[in-house]
Amino acid sequence: MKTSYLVTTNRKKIKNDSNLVNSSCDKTYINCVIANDAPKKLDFLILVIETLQINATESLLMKAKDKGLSKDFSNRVQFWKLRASNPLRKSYTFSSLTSEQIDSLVELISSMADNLYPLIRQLLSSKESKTLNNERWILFSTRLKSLIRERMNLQRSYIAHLLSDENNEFFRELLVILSLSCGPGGANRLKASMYYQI
Amino acid sequence: MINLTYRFDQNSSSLELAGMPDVSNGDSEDTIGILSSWTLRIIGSPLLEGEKEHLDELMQVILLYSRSYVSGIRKSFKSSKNIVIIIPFGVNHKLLLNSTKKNVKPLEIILDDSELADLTRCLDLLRFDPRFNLRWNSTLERPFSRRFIVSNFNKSNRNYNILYAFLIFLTTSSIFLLIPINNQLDLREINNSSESFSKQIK
Repeated sequence: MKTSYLVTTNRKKIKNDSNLVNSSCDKTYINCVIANDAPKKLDFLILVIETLQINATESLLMKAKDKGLSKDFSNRVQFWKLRASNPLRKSYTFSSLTSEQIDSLVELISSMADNLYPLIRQLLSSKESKTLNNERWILFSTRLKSLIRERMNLQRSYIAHLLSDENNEFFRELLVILSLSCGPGGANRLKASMYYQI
Repeated sequence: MINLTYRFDQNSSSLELAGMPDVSNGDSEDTIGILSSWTLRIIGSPLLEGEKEHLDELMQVILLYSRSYVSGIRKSFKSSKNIVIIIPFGVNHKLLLNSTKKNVKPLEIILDDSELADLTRCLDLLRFDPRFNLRWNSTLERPFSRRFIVSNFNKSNRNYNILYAFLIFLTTSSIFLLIPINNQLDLREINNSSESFSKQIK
């Protein structure tokens, strides 16, 4: 007797597994410290999500509510305070993120990346028509750059470099990180990149 | 004996595994405990197949490469038996697969970022699927040490602004040092002239 199954991403199953994944992962974060660039990286990843989806912040807050995440996601202001820990922002609050806040943000980003995966894939694919891909990239980079101009400190040389870079290398890197952060395995990968081992 | 086949599809990649439950290990009817074969289809590349050991090596390399990419590191990785090698190839990624059979040339597959993501997602789905009771050799996603990240960080991403600023400071300071200073400047004359001026007023 031979049975065959087609596997599709089943959210219920992933939800059940995520507890197991988290419990096994917690042991690997002993003797680890939060990476210096973690707030910057997380904020930029959310910025890319906002570029790909209008009203992404609302979706993020709704997801956080569904997942029962902490008070930091109760409203837009609290969420903005979290993001203002990015030192490249105009409104930098000189605060740092706790490991709980990082875990919550990683979970949210991973879940949003899962939803946006088809769009991300389209932008990263080299097999599609070049003209169509160029148009997509122009749209994406223009919107992302306008968001950066709006929120980041333009006097920082790093931001000036990002805005003047026509190859969009950093934006591409952010998209690849998002594409590799989907699902439970991806969330673990992203979380691991937010820490250093002592 | 029940033969089970499961397939994981992710756009450009499709991984199919066949096996049977390991009854001695207490596996249920729909669980694969013994893997008999696997095939991997990547669009535009030849069909890949092999034993569990080969899939394990592929998994090790792809997952480690993806993990490093998320930390901003782009470097090549080899599997423990050198069967699978992945190398950054411009904006793409080159996957080299060495056959265990003699006189067979290594297979070369160029993956773009989207294909790498598809393949990684396929392997992730397999890893976390509860219908497989198999032990994989792939390491858990552990944070890297700071030293490892600094030594392998993508050189093009390095920000040399501080170094440039220091160099500009040094060159301008040395140029200022070359300007001659007149140490023998006599200030008396100026005083005299002011005195004479006051006399004139009187």
